[in-house]
Amino acid sequence: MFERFFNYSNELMCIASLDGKFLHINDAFVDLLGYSREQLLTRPFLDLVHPEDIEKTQLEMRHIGAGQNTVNFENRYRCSDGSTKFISWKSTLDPESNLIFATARDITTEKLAINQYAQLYKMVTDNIIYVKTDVKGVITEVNDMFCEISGYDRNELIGKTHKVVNSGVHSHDFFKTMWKAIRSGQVWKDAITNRRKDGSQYVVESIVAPMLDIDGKVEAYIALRQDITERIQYQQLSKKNLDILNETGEIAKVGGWELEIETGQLFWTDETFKILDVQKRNGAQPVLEEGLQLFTDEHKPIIDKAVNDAAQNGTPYALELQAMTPKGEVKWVYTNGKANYRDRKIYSLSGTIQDIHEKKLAELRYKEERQRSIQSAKFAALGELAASVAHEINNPLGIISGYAELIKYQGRVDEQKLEAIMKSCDRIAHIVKNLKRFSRSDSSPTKTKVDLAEIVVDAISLTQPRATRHLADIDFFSNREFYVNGNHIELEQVVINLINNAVDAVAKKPLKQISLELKDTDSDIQLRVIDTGGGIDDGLKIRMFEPFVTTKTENMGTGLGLSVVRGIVEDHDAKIEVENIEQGAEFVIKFPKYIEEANHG
Amino acid sequence: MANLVYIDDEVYLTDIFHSLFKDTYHELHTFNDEYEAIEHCLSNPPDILFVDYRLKRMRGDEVAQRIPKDVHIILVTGDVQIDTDYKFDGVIAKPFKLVQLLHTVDGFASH
Repeated sequence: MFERFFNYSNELMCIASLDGKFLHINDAFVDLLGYSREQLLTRPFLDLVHPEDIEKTQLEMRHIGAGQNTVNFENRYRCSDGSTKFISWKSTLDPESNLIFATARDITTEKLAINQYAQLYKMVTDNIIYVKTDVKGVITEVNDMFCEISGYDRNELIGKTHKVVNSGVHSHDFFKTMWKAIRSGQVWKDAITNRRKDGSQYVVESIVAPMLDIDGKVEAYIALRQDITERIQYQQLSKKNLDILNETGEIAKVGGWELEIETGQLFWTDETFKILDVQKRNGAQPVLEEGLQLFTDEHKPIIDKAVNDAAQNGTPYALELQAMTPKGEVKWVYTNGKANYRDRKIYSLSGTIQDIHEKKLAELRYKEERQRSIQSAKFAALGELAASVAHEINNPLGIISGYAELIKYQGRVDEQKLEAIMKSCDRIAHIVKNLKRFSRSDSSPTKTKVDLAEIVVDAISLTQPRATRHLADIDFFSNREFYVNGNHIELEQVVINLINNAVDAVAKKPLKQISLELKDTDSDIQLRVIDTGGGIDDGLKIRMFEPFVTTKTENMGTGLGLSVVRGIVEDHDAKIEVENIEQGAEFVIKFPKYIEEANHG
Repeated sequence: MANLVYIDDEVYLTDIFHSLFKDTYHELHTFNDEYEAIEHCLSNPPDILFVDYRLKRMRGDEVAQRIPKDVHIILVTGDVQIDTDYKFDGVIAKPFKLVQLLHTVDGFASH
């Protein structure tokens, strides 16, 4: 009966001799080790003991032999399948038979769990700030790292609450929320700013978890913390740097950008968004293609090429370009870029963008002004010269024309030839009179009621010699006045400019015809200058009134003529347009009509 | 009929005046020297005095100021800009048309 009980038991049971052999072994034990009963009964059991445990097993057997009972002796057995089992023994030497009566338990599972826990615990407490508190928050355990970061000794912390390290940075509610979470069994996570013993602060990423007892009741809390002070400081620093960059960028109107070559992703600073008038989408940065769209059609190929060159060959660039904002506003910007290398490969481009619109406009205006003043200074000098020599020319002219007239009255010679002499005198006199007018160019030209027909005649008399040299015909006929409110000298400059341009245009064409026409419409007075010079490229048509746009080679023109013309025309509330017609170009200036009314005197 | 005086340092111009007026019923005295002319005008005030602006030693307006007030004084000048406060009764620009001179004189004589 005892035999049966012996075998049915789930406990491991055996009877062994002091010389190290099993005499009886129950089924449970046989099953655990996996060997046959015969094998187990014939071999010394030390053969089955883990080599590292043989020595302590032998020692324990001597203790048993000496009559000592074994309680909870642990050793490891190797099973037939190669696995190792932890076994906990309770044995007694039976004095009557001098045999060992032993019961044992397989504790492998517990052992492994404890081992894993121990490792985990060590790993955590060695590397992470670790604190354990009781349910009231009184510290019961801390590791070295917590002592190190807080600056307190272990005995200064045990028995206290976390008030010791409270920095005062967080609100009462902050901790209330935490307590509410962990009391209800939840894990709470957040960054906490704490205070060291020396008063300085540190920031930890904190995880607080409740430890539950068997009944699921909170019995303790464990807090794991990671020092993130440096990371926070770095984040604050880089945010601060970006803030400063954005702020200085705003003041200087300079934006920054970076392009990641591989993805085409652009990074812009706030000011770049502002300069290009692009709405900042939350978190999203633009891509290269969008960036390139923000330039005028004319300048897009230039920036395209510059960016490509920089990305492929590392060529840096610096350009003044016209940007076109999404609202269609054209704006002058300065932008530069350079390649950034990593492992000898270009991985990004970075640079700045600057709003230079005002500066550029001022520059253009200045150049235009200067050109205007150079032109009027030239004319003024010419006028002065004319005034000073007029007397010298007009006296002999008076003699020539006087005698010619006298001879004509006396009727003795060819009257036609005398007419020619007198007409030539008239022409010389007219030119001298015209030139002289420029000497009176005031700094702010006043506008009066002027006759455009007269202005055109005057302009032709001054440009005729040059036109004749280029074999060009200037054609104008008018038998009436066309009054506008304007400045004679300035308008004459406009007409002279247009005629001279027309002369240049027709110079190399077989047909060299320049016609001027005046027309009085219902709404305005129109002056047309029409040439047979082949017309103007469409691309140029838009830009030709801008300063420094010229088709003439160096020394031939400054490219300022038409911009000065436009300046004067606009100053007269008039409009200038250009169209290509059959054989050339047609410039039309539309002046408002002169209004004869009370406030004109 | 009118009494005329013309002062100009250009001999040819005074000659043209002579040739123009010699067959008319007007009486013309011309001078190339302004002092002689002023002397003449003081003793025989003309109806009309034609005077050039740049003379040998004086300017036309300076001459005009020395001439009796009731003489009608016309400036005849090749200058395109004259800097003077003196109000001439008329200005004829050189090169002048002969018919212009005749009209000026006839216009005055028919007053």
